[in-house]
Formats: sequence, C-alpha cells, structure tokens
Amino acid sequence: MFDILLGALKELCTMQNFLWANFGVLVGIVMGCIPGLTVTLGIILFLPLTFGMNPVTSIVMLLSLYAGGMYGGSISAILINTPGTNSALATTLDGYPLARQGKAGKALKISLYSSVFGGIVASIVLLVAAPPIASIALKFGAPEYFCLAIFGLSVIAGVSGKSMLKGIISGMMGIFISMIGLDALTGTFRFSFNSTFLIGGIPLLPALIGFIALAEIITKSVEVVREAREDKQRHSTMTLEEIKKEKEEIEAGKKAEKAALAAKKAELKTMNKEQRKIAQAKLKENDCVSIKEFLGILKVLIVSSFISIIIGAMPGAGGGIAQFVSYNEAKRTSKRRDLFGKGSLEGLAAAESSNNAVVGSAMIPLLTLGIPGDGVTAILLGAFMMQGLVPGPTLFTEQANITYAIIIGVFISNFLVLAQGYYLTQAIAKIIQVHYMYLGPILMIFCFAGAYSNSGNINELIMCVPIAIFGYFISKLGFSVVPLMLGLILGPIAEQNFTRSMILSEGSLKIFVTRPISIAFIIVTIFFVYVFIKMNKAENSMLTDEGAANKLKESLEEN
Amino acid sequence: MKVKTNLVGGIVFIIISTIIWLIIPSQIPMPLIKSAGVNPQLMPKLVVAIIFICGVLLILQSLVLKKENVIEVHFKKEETTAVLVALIMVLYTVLIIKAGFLIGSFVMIIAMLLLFGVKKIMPYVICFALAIGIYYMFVGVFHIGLPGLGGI
Repeated sequence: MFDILLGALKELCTMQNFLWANFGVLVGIVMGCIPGLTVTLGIILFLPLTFGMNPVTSIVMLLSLYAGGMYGGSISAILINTPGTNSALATTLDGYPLARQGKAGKALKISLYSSVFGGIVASIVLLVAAPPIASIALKFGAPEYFCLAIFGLSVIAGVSGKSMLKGIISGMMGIFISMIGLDALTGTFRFSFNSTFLIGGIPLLPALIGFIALAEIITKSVEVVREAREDKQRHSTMTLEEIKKEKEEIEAGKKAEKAALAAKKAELKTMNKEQRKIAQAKLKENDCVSIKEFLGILKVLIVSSFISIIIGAMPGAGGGIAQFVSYNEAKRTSKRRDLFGKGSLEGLAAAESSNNAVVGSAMIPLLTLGIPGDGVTAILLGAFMMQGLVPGPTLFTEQANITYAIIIGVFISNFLVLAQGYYLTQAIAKIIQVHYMYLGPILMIFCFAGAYSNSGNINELIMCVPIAIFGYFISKLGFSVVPLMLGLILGPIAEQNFTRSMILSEGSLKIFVTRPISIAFIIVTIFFVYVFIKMNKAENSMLTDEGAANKLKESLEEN
Repeated sequence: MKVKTNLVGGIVFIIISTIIWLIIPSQIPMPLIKSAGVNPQLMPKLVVAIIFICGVLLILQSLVLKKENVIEVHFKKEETTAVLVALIMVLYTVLIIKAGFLIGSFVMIIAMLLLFGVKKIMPYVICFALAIGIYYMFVGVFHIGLPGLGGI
C-alpha cells in the first residue's frame, strides 16, 4: 500500500499537474459564481482541452474544476442572493442576510473555510473507504455488473425532477442513442441507415455538448431576447422625459455609490489614531473570521460533512439534497435557532461544507463501482473513459498509481480552493454580472471547438446541432437531460453484461437471482427507487407554486 | 398558447417509439446463428417498449388523473428566437467546415449579437478578441487542431 501511495505521489507531484489543477479551480470558481453557468457545463466545455493531457492531469484538473465550482456557487449566493449552482441554494438563506448586514467578507470566508473543510473530510473518507469497496467489487461477474448497471439506472428515479415517467423516457432515450452504431458483441450495425455518418454511433462528447451545453444556449438566448424585447416595449410606452429620468436615476445611483466610498475613505483620513483603530477593528470584524467563530461552527462542520458524505455517496441524491438535510440538522441542533435565515454562521457553514463534501463522496461509487451518482459524475465517468480508464474495481488493481494519484489530487485541490478563494474571491466576484450577450457566443465557440476536437471528425460537429434541437425540444416539454446522460453512459454497460450473463447461463434469467450479490443489488435497487419516489414527492410538494427558494426557505423556517 | 406537456410528451414519444419499433427489423439484421436467447434486436425492442408504455402512462396521467404540467409557449415571440439560434448553429457548422473556424466564429458572433439587439461596437470587438484567444488556446497551447482558413 505504501509503495502504491508513493508511486501515486510521484505521478501527482509535477509542476504540470499543479498548474492545471490551479487552472481547474480558477475556472470552476468563475463558472460556479456566474449564475447561468454550471459546473456541469464547465466540465463539458473544458473536457476537450484535456485530450492532450495524461490521465492524472486531466482528471485532477476536472475534479479541481468541480471543487472550485461548488465553492464558486456560494459567491453569487452571498453577494446577489442568486445561487451560482443548484447546490448553493441553501447558502442564500444565511449568506445573503449576512451580506446585507455589511458582513459579506465574513460570509465569503466562512463559506470558503466550510467548503474546504467539507472537501478535505470527504476526500479522506474517499481514500479510506474506496479500496475495501473496490476489493469486494473485484468478485463481481457479468450478472453482478448487469444488476449494478440497473442499480445505476435506478438513479434516474432520483434525478427525474417533477415526473418520474418523463425521467424514465429520457433515460431510455439515452440507452437507445447509445445503441446506435456497431454492436460490439454481435458485430451488427444498428440504426445506421447504411450511412457512414451513423456507423460509428453517437459519441459521448458531441452528445453531451448537444444535449446540455448547446440546448442550454438556445434556452438562455430565448430568455435574453425576450428580456431585451420587454425592455424595448417598456421604453416604447415611456415618454422621452421618463427614459431620460430613468437613465439619470441609474447614473445618480452609481455616483452615490462612488461618493459613499469616497466619503468613507475621507472619514478614515480625518480620524485620529484611536478612532482609526476602532474603525479598522470593526471593518476587520466584519471581514474576517475569528478563531472563536471558527470553533463555534466546528461541530456543525463535522456533522454536516459526514451527513453529506453519506448522502453524496448514494447515487441520485446529489449536493442539493445534502445541503438542505445538513442545514436542517444544523438548525435542529443549534442553540441559536432564531438566527437561522437571518445570517447564521452555523447555517452558512452547514450549507457550504455539505456541497463540497459531496465532491469527494460522489467519487466513491464512481471509482469503485463505475456508477455515476449524478449528472456531473456521469460526465466525469465519460472523461475517465476518454482517457482509457474504466472506473470500477479493476481501477484499484490495474491502474492503482493513477487511481490513488487522482484521490490524493481531490484532497489537494481543496487546498488550492482555499488559496485561490482567499486571494481571488474579491476579483472574481466582479464578474458575477457579466452579460449573456458575451457569454452566449463564447460558450458556442467552446462547444463547437470541443465537438470537433474530440476526434477531428466533422460528423461529430454536424451531429451537435440536431442533438441540441432535440435536447431543447424535450427540455421544453419538461424532460430532464440528466437521466438521458445516465442512460447514454450506463446503457452499453447494462447491455454488454446482460448478453454475457445470458451466454453464461445459456439463456436462463435465473442467473440474476441465484447469485447473492446480484440479488442484493436487485433489493437495493428496489429500495432506492422507493426512497427516490418518496424524496421526489417531498421535494415536489416544496417546489410547486411560487419560487423554489422562497418555499424551501419558509419550510425551513417552520421547522 | 398553452401546452399540456404530459399529453404532448406522451404523444410525441408514442410516435417516436412506434416508428423505431417498425424500423427495427430493417435496421438491425438478425445474426445467422442465434445464441442463448439474446440477439441485437432484444435490447432496442425492450427500450422502445418501455418508452411506449411510459408514453401511454403519461397520456393517462393527463387525461384520466388530470395531472398535468402546463407551459405557456409563445411561438411568434420566443420559438422564432429558438429557431433563429438553431439556424445560426447550422450556419456556424457549415462555415467552420467551408471557411474555417475563425471566420465561422466571427460570423456567428455577429449573428448572435444582432439577435440580442446589440448596437454598440465594443461587445463585437470583445467577442472577436475572445474568439481569437480561444482559437489560439486550442491550437497553440493544447495542440488541438481546428479548421484553419479555408475550412477542412
């Protein structure tokens, strides 16, 4: 074991890895903090850039992006009450009130320390828990892998959103798309329409780019044009004087902000030493986190991290659920429950430690069993495959050095988040409100460059647009694309292992119920589907009617 | 226009699954030797059948249980924008292949910004500069080939 860890450290500790991991964290924080850009989108857009890298550099960079993005989501949640990522929804509950009290600096630092704490604890758990799970998984044969893939597909129930039926259809469409092209086991072409265009099937990257990134660009562009039109209409009903007045008010607001800042500076200059000391101490108090404050949230950090590690390791649960469960638990056990929702440091710490803890724990089922727990890990599974790594138990035996290097990389990336978050948050926060008119075209350039660079094949470039149109159409009808991605990735694993099992058993389906591990997976699958149905119902009842955040906020306040 | 997504979604996927089911025999030739009850048509048929059943259940949910998710679709105002963005994507693809990545990107940027109603020159300049930056990042830094001037 010691030799493996030493080998892993040798693989990991290179200047190239250090620089790319830092780049990943920076991109992650930026993507996370801009509302409308997601970690998922970030990983898809930067995935093509990793093709020329070695597996460790590539995966560590993407995981650093994931970790950075989870922290980045809190920046806009705290400063403008808009979570940059879904997993930062609970952060708004206490982060924004703190910012309104003039303690934005303190809130950002609590969020940073909590994120890093959760991330570090989870990566240690990943390092300790993954190898034993993988050694059990080594005993799996084709029937067990088939049942495992079915278990993975049951995640669809957890990520279906409002309608499970729509989730199942979406997941099945993903499996169907994965079947286009050459069938690896029988050598038969399926749905290729005798065209060279479809003989190779639909590769993963163009599918991800089309279904997620480009479909999202269409959706956002529609919103931007609608807003511009509404603005224009509003202006057309206004008189010239009213427009002039509105412009003047905006200008006056900006000037007032500048004047207030200048007045503060002038006030500091006119103060004597004593007064300046008091003012600076107050400023420091609002900007920094004291040791006493940190010790005050330590218990919450530990409890929330472990809750989120358990939830994050469960396929389908994800950061959003982990965050609210942790927040609720922190509130239930807190001595200052009255502060929750009004700027509680404990509430903020619970929310933020949990979403970064999920980064490490979601890697447990991915690395040991090859089962992605949510949309982001599904894409990461694709990234592993593109690097020639097959997530699963064999990763710990056949490519142990690389695997442990990746796990240690997850651990170290948290320290990079800490360093960058500490020194760069203020600068990064300035780009929160970057307009989509810049983002839309730039994202499109990234998408098309990425699709083409996958293999240099123009077919893959051409595929993206119809896929995006189909993705936009189904998302308009309320079909989530996350189950589709899971189907796309897990479909071939399920089919290949089903066929192998049937050959092994000479056509008897009994093989799936006579092997103990297979039965265990079937039972676990049924249990999880039941739990997901219950969770979806509870979540939907909270998310219907008015705004999601307000509803969740109210329900949390009631508890 | 109000659209019942469960009803429409159900109908759309029943149609899709029926079409796929019908083309399976012509699109997936059966191997001459059958083995262990599995064949290349088995899984596609299973998947398509599940889509069909779920489509029917969605329709039943809408018509019988009256459980519906209604959305407002503005064909003239909003969906034309979606169509225009899709057309820009098609044009971008064609231009990348025929004229090269940079020229394609410049045209796409102009089209998108015009669609967004941008009249100032600065956003165009910034987006052009970023496009050049991304191109050289792919080609120069990551050594990933992109179509140069003149296309592929």
